[in-house]
Amino acid sequence: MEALRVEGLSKDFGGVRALQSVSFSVKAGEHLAIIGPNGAGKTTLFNLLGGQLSPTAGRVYLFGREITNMAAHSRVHLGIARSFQLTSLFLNLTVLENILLALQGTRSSRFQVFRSATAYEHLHTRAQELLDSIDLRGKEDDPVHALSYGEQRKLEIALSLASEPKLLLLDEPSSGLTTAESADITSMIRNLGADVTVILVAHDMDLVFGVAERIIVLHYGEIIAEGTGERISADPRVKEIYIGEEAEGSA
Amino acid sequence: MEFFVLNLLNGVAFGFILFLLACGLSLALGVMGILNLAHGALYMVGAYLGWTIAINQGLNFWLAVLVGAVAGGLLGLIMEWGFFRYLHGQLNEQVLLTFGFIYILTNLTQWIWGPIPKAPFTAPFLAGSFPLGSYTYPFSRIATIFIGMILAVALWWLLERTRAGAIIRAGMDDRKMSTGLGINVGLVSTAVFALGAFIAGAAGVLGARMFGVNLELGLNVLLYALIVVVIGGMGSIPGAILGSMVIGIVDSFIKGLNPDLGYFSMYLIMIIILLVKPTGLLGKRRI
Amino acid sequence: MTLANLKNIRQSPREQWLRWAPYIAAGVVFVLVPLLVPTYINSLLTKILIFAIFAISLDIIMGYTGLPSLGHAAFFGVAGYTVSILLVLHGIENFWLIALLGILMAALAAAILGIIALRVSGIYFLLVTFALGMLLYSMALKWFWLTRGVQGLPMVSYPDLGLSWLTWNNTSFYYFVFVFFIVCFFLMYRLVNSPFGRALQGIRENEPRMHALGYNTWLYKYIAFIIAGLFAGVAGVLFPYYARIMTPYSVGVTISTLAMLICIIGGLGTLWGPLIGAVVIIVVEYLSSVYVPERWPLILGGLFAITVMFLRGGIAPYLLRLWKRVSYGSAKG
Repeated sequence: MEALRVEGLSKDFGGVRALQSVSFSVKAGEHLAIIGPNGAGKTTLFNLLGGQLSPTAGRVYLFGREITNMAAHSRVHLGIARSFQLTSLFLNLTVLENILLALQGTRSSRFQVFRSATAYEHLHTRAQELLDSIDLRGKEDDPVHALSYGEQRKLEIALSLASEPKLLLLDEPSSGLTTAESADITSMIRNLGADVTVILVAHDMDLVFGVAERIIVLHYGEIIAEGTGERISADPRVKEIYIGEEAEGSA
Repeated sequence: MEFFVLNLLNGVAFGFILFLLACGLSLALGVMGILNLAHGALYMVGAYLGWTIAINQGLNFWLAVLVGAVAGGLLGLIMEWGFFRYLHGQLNEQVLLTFGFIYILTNLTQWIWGPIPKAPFTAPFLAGSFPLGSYTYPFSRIATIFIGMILAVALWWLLERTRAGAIIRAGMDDRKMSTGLGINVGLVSTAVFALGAFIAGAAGVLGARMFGVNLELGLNVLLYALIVVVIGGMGSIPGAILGSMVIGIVDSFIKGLNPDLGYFSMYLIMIIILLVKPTGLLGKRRI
Repeated sequence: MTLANLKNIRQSPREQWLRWAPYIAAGVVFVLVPLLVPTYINSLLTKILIFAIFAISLDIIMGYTGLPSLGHAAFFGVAGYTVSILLVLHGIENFWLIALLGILMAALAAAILGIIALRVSGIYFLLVTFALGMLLYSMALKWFWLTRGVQGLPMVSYPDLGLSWLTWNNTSFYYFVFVFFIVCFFLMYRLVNSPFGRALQGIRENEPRMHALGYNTWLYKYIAFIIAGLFAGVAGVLFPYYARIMTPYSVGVTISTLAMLICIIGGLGTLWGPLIGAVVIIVVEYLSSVYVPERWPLILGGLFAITVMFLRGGIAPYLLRLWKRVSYGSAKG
């Protein structure tokens, strides 16, 4: 079963072609990593998948259903969730309030205008579970701006997990984290369960090789290589991008 | 035909006064992201002070313009230095504060000069009119057009052709980068703000013949200036000229045809532009 | 006050007492005091409550949703004019009928204006709401056939409730308005603590993130806008009976900015802020009308400046911090 299929996806910004006819598919339950140098178009791709941007050309299919121009919030209800490279949290609200908002996003109770939010016991229980999974128990009432960067990154991921997505888009989940914290993220992704499809954008190769079954390499908006970790490391074009440029620079 | 020419000339003259007013507002928005709703009040203070110098004391008209301008500039400096530099990016607070300034300045003006409006005035040598077809057309309006054009060109030249102007435009585009380049953005901002206020004060005297000297000026001219900035685009001098001309001419024609419609049409135009192209016809900065 | 606080902390009687204290204090002031003071004070208290309701309505969109509106008086005025026009020009006296229509008209106006205004955000939203408000003001001013223009519509002073046993005076009218205030305050309390209210705050804090979490943020803003228009309408239908005349001034930018000031002085995005702000502003206005009548705009402008420069966050959050310090201090013993 195909979780995601992308056909000929392109995105122009004025005169700049950020993505050039990108096509790939992801099987349900698969862990895919997308890597590439800065400016390769990875976040643009995520923005197109998440619905933050509309493509100039091409189509996107989620579990067989076309979502190419669907609004971002509607996609969440179809099972997509994403985390952001630049931490996007509710800084002035508490940790608990952040998680509750995320949990509420796909529940029908989110339109309730009269009943108190505290009446939803099961949500609070679920919130505590999520807090446990990222080790932030005891910090529920702290405002998010008071958390350390690493704790905020973990919360960022927790928010994207709240909707129990079937397709999870993680944009640089471990950027700025210590090795230990990155390892936490790695095991968290591994423990997500067989029915969660994960697409990961990362620069941290430990994370990529630790989690991904398949890797796609983007460069200047185009896919230049695709395959398992071993194949990619051996691919001369990939080497040239990552290592070749260094050699050029030192010449 | 006469109707057309008359209203066109009126519109252009009106437009240039609006331009003087709007460019200060636009620069403040563009360079510093400050919405100074009290800009119209600066115009009003200029008008009243100008009246005192020119009519009450019977002194030279151009001295009155200067006094009005200096008063505007000083008030602008106080506003920026005492208040605005603490409020960057805080829209609600800026709106509230500048509305407060409108109330304060209007009430102080009333306290000093009394509630009765003063008669519109202009320089004695401009007081007459010349025949235009079967109408007569005031000299002062032609003079306004000339002065307006000179000032518009001067401002354009300042921004586009001088080093100081380049610095100002850099600050508008990217504040942090400019600071990184060693430019004292704070000083530049204050200078720009004061310049805009200076021009607004002068405009008050120059426009005294057209707009009059009364206590409603604060809000009335503000409305027009806002519409001009919205249409022309925030932070753009050519935009301010375009916007002023459009508004000046449209307003003159509409008032010429049906005075009551004037009010509505201005707001409708503003709303339409805000919905269709919020950055204005020539605007650069999306705030 | 966080959700965890409310759920997990077992409260001692003393802590419970402290939680209820603001309500008790306000209750004493607003329920008992009017019985003891001269009737002109009741008039003042009536004005405070009417403007508190109006400020509550603005706080919903400005404080909780983060939409700065400079045209909110439009809904206040639409409701007020509906009531006045029906009563004065068409002789329909039944308060319940005309008030209901007034509130519905205000909500309708919000539904229409909201579609226009919510196409943009930030400063553009401010300017559009400003222009829309001024448009309605112009209509109230120019459409003499509808509103009697600047002359206004003189009102009877008390609503016709169809209750023959009721004698109207300053005090009974005050309690009438007070009931409306209680209802509005209660509804606002439920709204801001509900999932919908929490979502509004989320939108204020980080709208793109809310969008990416599954919330149709435009719909939330639109509904909030209409609810705010509705509450403004409640204040609007009471106002003509208090002021005894309905003029275009009540639709104008002065009233809109007054509401803004009340919210900001009291504390944007708080429950008690609008009431506190209304008390402060209207008391100062009254004092100035007694001692320095010509200088009220000057004082008002000064209040704007002082609030903006020194009272960051407003009075209510400041009191809340004070309260927390007191109540936690006593918990530690």
